[in-house]
Amino acid sequence: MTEEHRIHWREDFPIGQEEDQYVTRREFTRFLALASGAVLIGNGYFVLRRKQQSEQAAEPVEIAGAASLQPGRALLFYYPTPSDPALLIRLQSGQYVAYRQRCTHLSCPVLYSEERNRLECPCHNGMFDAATGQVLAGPPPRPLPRIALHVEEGRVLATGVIGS
Amino acid sequence: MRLRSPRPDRMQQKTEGASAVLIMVLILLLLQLWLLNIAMEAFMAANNSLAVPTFLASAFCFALTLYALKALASLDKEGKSGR
Ligand code: FES
Repeated sequence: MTEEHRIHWREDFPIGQEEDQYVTRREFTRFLALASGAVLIGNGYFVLRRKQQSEQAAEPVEIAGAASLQPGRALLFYYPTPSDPALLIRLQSGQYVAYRQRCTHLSCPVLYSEERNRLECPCHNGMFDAATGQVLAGPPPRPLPRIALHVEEGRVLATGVIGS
Repeated sequence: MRLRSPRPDRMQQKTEGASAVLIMVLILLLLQLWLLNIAMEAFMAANNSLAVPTFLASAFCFALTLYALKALASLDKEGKSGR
Protein backbone atom coordinates (compact mmCIF):
# COMPACT_ATOMS: atom_id res chain seq x y z
CA MET A 1 0.00 0.00 0.00
CA THR A 2 1.42 3.37 -1.00
CA GLU A 3 1.60 6.35 1.29
CA GLU A 4 -1.03 8.12 -0.83
CA HIS A 5 -3.51 5.23 -0.35
CA ARG A 6 -2.97 5.35 3.35
CA ILE A 7 -3.86 9.01 3.48
CA HIS A 8 -7.14 8.38 1.62
CA TRP A 9 -8.07 5.56 4.02
CA ARG A 10 -7.49 7.89 6.90
CA GLU A 11 -9.75 10.54 5.40
CA ASP A 12 -12.59 8.08 4.88
CA PHE A 13 -12.40 6.71 8.43
CA PRO A 14 -11.22 9.58 10.59
CA ILE A 15 -12.44 8.11 13.91
CA GLY A 16 -10.23 5.63 15.70
CA GLN A 17 -11.56 2.38 17.10
CA GLU A 18 -10.96 3.41 20.73
CA GLU A 19 -12.79 6.67 20.25
CA ASP A 20 -15.67 4.89 18.55
CA GLN A 21 -15.95 2.44 21.43
CA TYR A 22 -15.89 5.26 23.92
CA VAL A 23 -18.70 7.15 22.18
CA THR A 24 -20.96 4.06 21.80
CA ARG A 25 -20.50 3.17 25.48
CA ARG A 26 -21.22 6.72 26.56
CA GLU A 27 -24.37 6.90 24.44
CA PHE A 28 -25.57 3.50 25.64
CA THR A 29 -25.02 4.59 29.24
CA ARG A 30 -27.16 7.68 28.60
CA PHE A 31 -29.87 5.49 27.15
CA LEU A 32 -29.76 3.27 30.24
CA ALA A 33 -30.10 6.37 32.44
CA LEU A 34 -33.23 7.27 30.48
CA ALA A 35 -34.57 3.76 31.03
CA SER A 36 -33.77 4.13 34.73
CA GLY A 37 -35.95 7.26 34.86
CA ALA A 38 -38.75 5.42 33.08
CA VAL A 39 -38.61 2.55 35.59
CA LEU A 40 -38.75 5.08 38.43
CA ILE A 41 -41.90 6.60 36.87
CA GLY A 42 -43.35 3.08 36.67
CA ASN A 43 -42.72 2.64 40.39
CA GLY A 44 -44.30 6.02 41.04
CA TYR A 45 -47.46 4.80 39.32
CA PHE A 46 -47.96 2.20 42.06
CA VAL A 47 -47.48 4.86 44.75
CA LEU A 48 -50.16 7.01 43.10
CA ARG A 49 -52.55 4.07 42.79
CA ARG A 50 -51.95 3.25 46.45
CA LYS A 51 -52.82 6.81 47.43
CA GLN A 52 -55.89 6.82 45.22
CA GLN A 53 -57.09 3.49 46.59
CA SER A 54 -56.53 4.36 50.23
CA GLU A 55 -58.46 7.64 49.76
CA GLN A 56 -61.38 5.86 48.17
CA ALA A 57 -61.27 2.86 50.49
CA ALA A 58 -61.63 5.15 53.48
CA GLU A 59 -65.29 5.61 52.55
CA PRO A 60 -67.56 2.56 52.96
CA VAL A 61 -69.47 1.98 49.75
CA GLU A 62 -72.89 0.40 49.60
CA ILE A 63 -73.19 -2.42 47.08
CA ALA A 64 -76.37 -1.81 45.13
CA GLY A 65 -78.63 -4.84 44.70
CA ALA A 66 -76.83 -6.92 47.34
CA ALA A 67 -79.90 -7.30 49.55
CA SER A 68 -81.86 -9.10 46.84
CA LEU A 69 -79.00 -11.45 45.99
CA GLN A 70 -80.07 -15.08 46.27
CA PRO A 71 -77.81 -17.70 47.95
CA GLY A 72 -75.46 -19.28 45.42
CA ARG A 73 -75.47 -16.17 43.19
CA ALA A 74 -72.85 -13.52 42.51
CA LEU A 75 -72.99 -9.82 41.75
CA LEU A 76 -70.45 -7.62 39.98
CA PHE A 77 -69.57 -4.30 41.56
CA TYR A 78 -66.64 -1.88 41.49
CA TYR A 79 -64.45 -1.21 44.48
CA PRO A 80 -62.36 0.70 45.60
CA THR A 81 -62.20 2.65 42.31
CA PRO A 82 -64.61 2.49 39.36
CA SER A 83 -61.89 0.64 37.43
CA ASP A 84 -61.56 -2.19 39.99
CA PRO A 85 -64.17 -4.88 39.33
CA ALA A 86 -65.09 -7.12 42.24
CA LEU A 87 -67.51 -9.97 42.87
CA LEU A 88 -69.94 -10.20 45.73
CA ILE A 89 -70.99 -13.79 46.36
CA ARG A 90 -73.78 -14.99 48.59
CA LEU A 91 -72.80 -18.44 49.80
CA GLN A 92 -75.38 -21.19 50.30
CA SER A 93 -75.18 -20.49 54.02
CA GLY A 94 -76.45 -16.98 53.34
CA GLN A 95 -73.13 -15.37 54.24
CA TYR A 96 -71.69 -12.67 51.96
CA VAL A 97 -68.10 -12.72 50.70
CA ALA A 98 -66.43 -10.44 48.15
CA TYR A 99 -63.20 -10.65 46.15
CA ARG A 100 -61.46 -8.59 43.58
CA GLN A 101 -62.28 -9.99 40.20
CA ARG A 102 -58.71 -9.88 38.91
CA CYS A 103 -56.98 -13.26 38.82
CA THR A 104 -53.70 -13.26 40.72
CA HIS A 105 -51.97 -15.07 37.87
CA LEU A 106 -52.18 -12.71 34.89
CA SER A 107 -55.14 -10.50 35.79
CA CYS A 108 -57.90 -12.14 33.75
CA PRO A 109 -61.38 -11.63 35.26
CA VAL A 110 -62.49 -14.60 37.37
CA LEU A 111 -66.08 -15.86 37.15
CA TYR A 112 -68.25 -17.44 39.79
CA SER A 113 -69.39 -20.98 39.05
CA GLU A 114 -72.65 -21.62 40.84
CA GLU A 115 -72.75 -25.40 40.44
CA ARG A 116 -69.15 -25.95 41.60
CA ASN A 117 -69.25 -23.14 44.17
CA ARG A 118 -65.86 -21.74 43.19
CA LEU A 119 -64.33 -18.91 41.23
CA GLU A 120 -62.82 -19.93 37.93
CA CYS A 121 -60.40 -18.16 35.67
CA PRO A 122 -61.04 -18.99 32.00
CA CYS A 123 -57.54 -17.97 30.85
CA HIS A 124 -55.44 -20.80 32.35
CA ASN A 125 -58.00 -22.71 34.41
CA GLY A 126 -57.11 -21.17 37.75
CA MET A 127 -59.64 -22.00 40.47
CA PHE A 128 -60.35 -20.36 43.80
CA ASP A 129 -62.47 -21.42 46.73
CA ALA A 130 -65.61 -19.26 46.94
CA ALA A 131 -65.68 -19.24 50.73
CA THR A 132 -62.04 -18.33 51.36
CA GLY A 133 -60.54 -17.12 48.07
CA GLN A 134 -57.73 -19.69 48.41
CA VAL A 135 -56.23 -21.21 45.27
CA LEU A 136 -57.68 -24.66 44.54
CA ALA A 137 -55.93 -25.40 41.27
CA GLY A 138 -54.04 -23.86 38.38
CA PRO A 139 -51.23 -21.36 38.09
CA PRO A 140 -52.39 -18.45 40.33
CA PRO A 141 -49.64 -17.87 42.92
CA ARG A 142 -51.80 -16.18 45.57
CA PRO A 143 -55.37 -16.21 46.90
CA LEU A 144 -57.78 -13.59 45.58
CA PRO A 145 -57.62 -10.30 47.48
CA ARG A 146 -60.68 -10.16 49.68
CA ILE A 147 -62.96 -7.17 50.16
CA ALA A 148 -64.03 -6.49 53.72
CA LEU A 149 -67.80 -6.28 54.08
CA HIS A 150 -70.12 -4.88 56.67
CA VAL A 151 -73.75 -5.93 56.73
CA GLU A 152 -76.26 -3.71 58.48
CA GLU A 153 -80.03 -3.54 58.17
CA GLY A 154 -80.05 -5.52 54.96
CA ARG A 155 -77.46 -3.26 53.36
CA VAL A 156 -74.04 -4.63 52.36
CA LEU A 157 -71.15 -2.18 52.53
CA ALA A 158 -67.64 -2.66 51.16
CA THR A 159 -65.22 -1.25 53.71
CA GLY A 160 -61.72 -2.09 52.48
CA VAL A 161 -59.43 -4.44 50.59
CA ILE A 162 -57.63 -7.15 52.52
CA GLY A 163 -54.41 -8.05 50.67
CA SER A 164 -53.50 -11.67 50.05
CA MET B 1 1.71 9.83 8.56
CA ARG B 2 0.36 8.42 11.83
CA LEU B 3 -2.57 6.05 11.64
CA ARG B 4 -3.48 6.06 15.30
CA SER B 5 -4.91 8.91 17.34
CA PRO B 6 -2.28 11.09 18.98
CA ARG B 7 -2.92 9.86 22.57
CA PRO B 8 -4.07 6.25 22.42
CA ASP B 9 -3.39 5.59 26.12
CA ARG B 10 -5.59 8.46 27.20
CA MET B 11 -8.38 7.28 24.92
CA GLN B 12 -8.07 3.75 26.23
CA GLN B 13 -8.34 5.06 29.78
CA LYS B 14 -11.47 6.98 28.87
CA THR B 15 -13.01 3.91 27.27
CA GLU B 16 -12.26 1.87 30.35
CA GLY B 17 -13.82 4.57 32.53
CA ALA B 18 -16.92 4.63 30.33
CA SER B 19 -17.15 0.83 30.52
CA ALA B 20 -16.99 0.92 34.31
CA VAL B 21 -19.76 3.55 34.46
CA LEU B 22 -21.79 1.54 31.95
CA ILE B 23 -21.57 -1.63 34.05
CA MET B 24 -22.52 0.26 37.20
CA VAL B 25 -25.55 1.89 35.53
CA LEU B 26 -26.59 -1.46 34.08
CA ILE B 27 -26.48 -3.12 37.53
CA LEU B 28 -28.53 -0.25 38.99
CA LEU B 29 -31.09 -0.58 36.22
CA LEU B 30 -31.43 -4.32 36.85
CA LEU B 31 -31.95 -3.58 40.53
CA GLN B 32 -34.66 -1.06 39.64
CA LEU B 33 -36.40 -3.57 37.39
CA TRP B 34 -36.38 -6.06 40.25
CA LEU B 35 -37.89 -3.41 42.56
CA LEU B 36 -40.55 -2.61 39.96
CA ASN B 37 -41.39 -6.30 39.75
CA ILE B 38 -41.79 -6.47 43.55
CA ALA B 39 -44.02 -3.37 43.52
CA MET B 40 -46.16 -4.83 40.74
CA GLU B 41 -46.51 -8.23 42.42
CA ALA B 42 -47.52 -6.54 45.68
CA PHE B 43 -50.00 -4.30 43.87
CA MET B 44 -51.64 -7.30 42.20
CA ALA B 45 -51.95 -8.95 45.59
CA ALA B 46 -53.62 -5.77 46.92
CA ASN B 47 -50.71 -5.35 49.30
CA ASN B 48 -49.91 -1.66 49.15
CA SER B 49 -47.30 -1.56 51.89
CA LEU B 50 -44.38 -2.12 49.48
CA ALA B 51 -45.20 0.65 46.99
CA VAL B 52 -43.42 3.48 48.84
CA PRO B 53 -40.28 1.56 49.99
CA THR B 54 -39.68 0.21 46.48
CA PHE B 55 -40.23 3.67 45.01
CA LEU B 56 -37.71 5.21 47.43
CA ALA B 57 -35.15 2.49 46.71
CA SER B 58 -35.68 3.00 42.98
CA ALA B 59 -35.27 6.77 43.39
CA PHE B 60 -31.98 6.15 45.19
CA CYS B 61 -30.78 3.97 42.30
CA PHE B 62 -31.82 6.69 39.85
CA ALA B 63 -29.89 9.29 41.85
CA LEU B 64 -26.80 7.05 41.71
CA THR B 65 -27.31 6.69 37.97
CA LEU B 66 -27.42 10.47 37.57
CA TYR B 67 -24.24 10.73 39.62
CA ALA B 68 -22.61 8.18 37.33
CA LEU B 69 -23.71 10.22 34.32
CA LYS B 70 -22.11 13.27 35.89
CA ALA B 71 -18.88 11.30 36.26
CA LEU B 72 -19.16 10.33 32.61
CA ALA B 73 -19.67 13.97 31.61
CA SER B 74 -16.58 15.03 33.55
CA LEU B 75 -14.66 12.23 31.85
CA ASP B 76 -15.81 13.67 28.57
CA LYS B 77 -14.81 17.22 29.50
CA GLU B 78 -11.45 16.05 30.77
CA GLY B 79 -10.82 14.30 27.49
CA LYS B 80 -11.67 17.40 25.48
CA SER B 81 -9.48 19.71 27.53
CA GLY B 82 -6.66 17.16 27.53
CA ARG B 83 -6.59 16.92 23.74
S1 FES C 1 -54.85 -15.41 34.39
FE1 FES C 1 -56.05 -16.60 35.69
S2 FES C 1 -55.11 -18.51 35.63
FE2 FES C 1 -53.90 -17.33 34.33
